[in-house]
Amino acid sequence: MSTDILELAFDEPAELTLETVHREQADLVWRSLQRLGVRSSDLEDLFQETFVVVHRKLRSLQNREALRSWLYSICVRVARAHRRRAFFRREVSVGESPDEMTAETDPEKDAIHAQGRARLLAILDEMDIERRAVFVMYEIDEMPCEDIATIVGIPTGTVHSRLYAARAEFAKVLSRHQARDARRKVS
Amino acid sequence: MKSPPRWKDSPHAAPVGVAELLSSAKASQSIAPAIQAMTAKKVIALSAGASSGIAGLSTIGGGGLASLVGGKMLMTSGAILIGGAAIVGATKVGAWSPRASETRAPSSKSEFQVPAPADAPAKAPTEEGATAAPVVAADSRDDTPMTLKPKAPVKAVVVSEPAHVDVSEVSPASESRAPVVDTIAEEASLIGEARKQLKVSPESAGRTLAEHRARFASGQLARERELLFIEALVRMGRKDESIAARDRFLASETSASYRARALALVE
Repeated sequence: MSTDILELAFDEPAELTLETVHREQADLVWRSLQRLGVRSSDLEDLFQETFVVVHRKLRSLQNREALRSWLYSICVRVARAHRRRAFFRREVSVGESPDEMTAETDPEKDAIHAQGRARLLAILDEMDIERRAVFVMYEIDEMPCEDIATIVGIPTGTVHSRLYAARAEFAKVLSRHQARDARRKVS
Repeated sequence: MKSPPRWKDSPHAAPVGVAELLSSAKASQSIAPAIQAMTAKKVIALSAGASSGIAGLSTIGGGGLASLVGGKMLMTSGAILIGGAAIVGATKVGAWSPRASETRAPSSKSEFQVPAPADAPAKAPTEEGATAAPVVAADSRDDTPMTLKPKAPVKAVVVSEPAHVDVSEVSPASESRAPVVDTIAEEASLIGEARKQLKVSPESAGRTLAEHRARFASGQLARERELLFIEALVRMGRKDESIAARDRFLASETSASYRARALALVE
């Protein structure tokens, strides 16, 4: 965000410390973890876990301009490990608390909204974690592909192809869910 | 290269039922200022802990981990196979954070609060360092450098000549609460200007820094400002004041590099 501005302002670039990274990129890490499927109940722990890794690895970062994509790659690994741990703990289906799911005041709308959101999260949870993130960034957070490319650290064209693959995976999982629902209705 | 239309905007292009699902989605949320302030303390404690050898990181086997002190804990019993390594028995995964009720409490001051210009001693955020219990992800070791993008040009922000401000009377209480994104360019511009003025007119630099302090008492560049302020006092020959300013800075600063810079300015 402000790295370039800082370099213009100072004769020498300020030292990249853990505090600086946290101050400037905390929001990126926070939102990336959400996009990678970390629930709000685990978000704070995973956020801090990410910064522990950043602390260990910061010296290995050669180019500061790659900071955002470097942080994102750490988020991916942390979220992936968390997903695996959640699987072992059989807590994968833990969802959001009701008041986090919707701000609607109509109970009927609330219920529909909550049901839709639960279904959406269930589908996203079955997707490959990196495709999921690109899907969420584009379709839900409505970010431009260029911004996604900067964060993920891939060319824009690769974002397009990853989005294409993510959509195909989403549609496949959705149809599986719909087929399962249909079978339940019949029985 | 043109991006494809979003499914939400063109439901006919999306599979049946997707538009309804996406309409119920909630976009990712920004980090709350209170959480950012709280985690900033942990980060500082982590840095301080590492430099004094109390980081407390540990790993088990090829991919597992166990590190814990304080905070809430999750306990998982049984056998866990990760990356070919088996961790048998009870694995405790210690979380770093205090309870949610504590973390949601709003913080009245930024962790990066700079030393006050008055004699009030600043609080050193080192107490939590010993309780930090980091958890290291099983496969978070092999971070690789990413591909690089060309540097985008950034326009400098022009700031008009500030009115005269008495350096000794500016209070951090008047700090701006504007969002980081909006203020960082202004901050950088003021600090850059002060840096340029420093060698030719430390008095002017002092006024510029005073303006920064008045507007961004706990700003993103507060520590740079205080270091420049010390240097300005040194250049003006106000040795006693420079020593006092350095001591105030050192009282709250935990970063070894910043401390070294402050010490180098005033021997």
